[in-house]
Amino acid sequence: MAHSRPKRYALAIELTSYCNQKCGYCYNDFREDGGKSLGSLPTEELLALVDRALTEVEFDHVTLTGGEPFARADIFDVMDVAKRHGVGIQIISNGGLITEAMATRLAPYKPSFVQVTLDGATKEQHEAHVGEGHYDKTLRGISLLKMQGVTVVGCTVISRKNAKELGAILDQFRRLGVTSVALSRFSPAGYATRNVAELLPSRSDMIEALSQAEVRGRDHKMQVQVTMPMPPCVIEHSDFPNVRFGGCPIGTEMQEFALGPKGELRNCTLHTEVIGDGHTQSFAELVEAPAVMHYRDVTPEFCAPCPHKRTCVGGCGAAGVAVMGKSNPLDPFVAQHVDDGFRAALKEARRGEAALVPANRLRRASV
Amino acid sequence: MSEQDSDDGRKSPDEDSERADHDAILARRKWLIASALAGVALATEGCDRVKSVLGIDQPPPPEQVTADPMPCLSQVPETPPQPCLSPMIAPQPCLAPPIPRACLSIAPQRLDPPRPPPRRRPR
Repeated sequence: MAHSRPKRYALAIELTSYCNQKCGYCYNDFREDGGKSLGSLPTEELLALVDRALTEVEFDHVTLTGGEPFARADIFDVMDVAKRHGVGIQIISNGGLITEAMATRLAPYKPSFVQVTLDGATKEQHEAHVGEGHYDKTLRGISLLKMQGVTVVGCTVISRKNAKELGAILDQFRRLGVTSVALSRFSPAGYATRNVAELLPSRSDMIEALSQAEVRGRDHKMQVQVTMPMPPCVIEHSDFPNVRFGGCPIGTEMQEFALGPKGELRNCTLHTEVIGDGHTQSFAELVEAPAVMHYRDVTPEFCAPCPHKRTCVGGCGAAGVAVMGKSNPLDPFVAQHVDDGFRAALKEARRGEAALVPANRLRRASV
Repeated sequence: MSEQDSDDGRKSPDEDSERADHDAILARRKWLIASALAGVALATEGCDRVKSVLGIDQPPPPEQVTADPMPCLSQVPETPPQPCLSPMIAPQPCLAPPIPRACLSIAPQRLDPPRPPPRRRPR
């Protein structure tokens, strides 16, 4: 009897650890040194790895990301492999490296969309999140893609700095002809843990942002979808009927695995823990490894009595592990309001009295 | 005195909002837990009994407070799902989140080995 391949929703391929932007909210652990120590796989090796991943597992689509995926000229070769396997293509980019030639070459591949992030309605606000000199380049990238008929989806990472301005950012997207927007939220995993105090939005911040999004969804028919988990104890989803919500997919067939710049497979792009090495292990086995299948078995202490713990899993576990530690990995978005120690540490850091040291930095320091 | 306290000792708006967030989350968590208990109690005691015991409003149906699993960070495709998943995902308008069907349910059972003792959290 033929053995059927496991089916999974998506594989996020981190094509390179290099990025032209320097985002304070970057969840990539390799953002620490600009990706220098990690680099990228040589083209032939990358293509062979992707080919094998798509042969061994039936993915619905690949998401090309990084770093900045357009920093690699061979991104089109990777898309050729995906096309050959008949899987869809999505791209997450900051838009800043897209040239007219690239947009023209990209169009025939018909990616489902290129998702481009804008974190402010003004140059100042956007660049306060991603570094100087990127706002105009991002707007140009969006414009070039749209001119070639490539679908552009917007993205905004909601932070403590921009939560109250989300409406203006969505209006800016609308002016650019982008009406579908993914609302991410600052989720301190990887590099971002060093900016928890500065960027972590509160529940009130998030409600303000969602209220502004709700108006744009209702009045302008913008398609606004929250793409990071919003635990139901923090946000009542039904208060925002024109905003779509989802939950963490790890351990379900909706999971989006991450294939790292060195060929390692992880549970998602935010998680740093490696499930296994794609070079030496079967992808079919890796997607069914205990680290995947039992991910949802244990939830943070705070969630233990909650009836929704199996679906909610306490929010973003990657951020929980990175900031709070493995022993009780409650999402800092929740923990800031219910964990007295963490709340006090945040306050001190915001007053400039003491630095907040997240668990992943403690680990780094002790190695 | 905290820098957020005003001169006359009253709490600042930030502190008020922080307290409100804290209280709201705990109250909502209590309500979610109670809703599960109410589900059990309803079967044996009926609505009135549940309300008087728990001192809360009747919980909503579970589907109002749960979210379907979906990938973080990126929108769902505008195009319909590709063939390999199409039987499992209901046709839906652009950008609606994918809905897991039975075969997409959490932790597929066919491969579940006996669960290890919960010594360490796996993530």
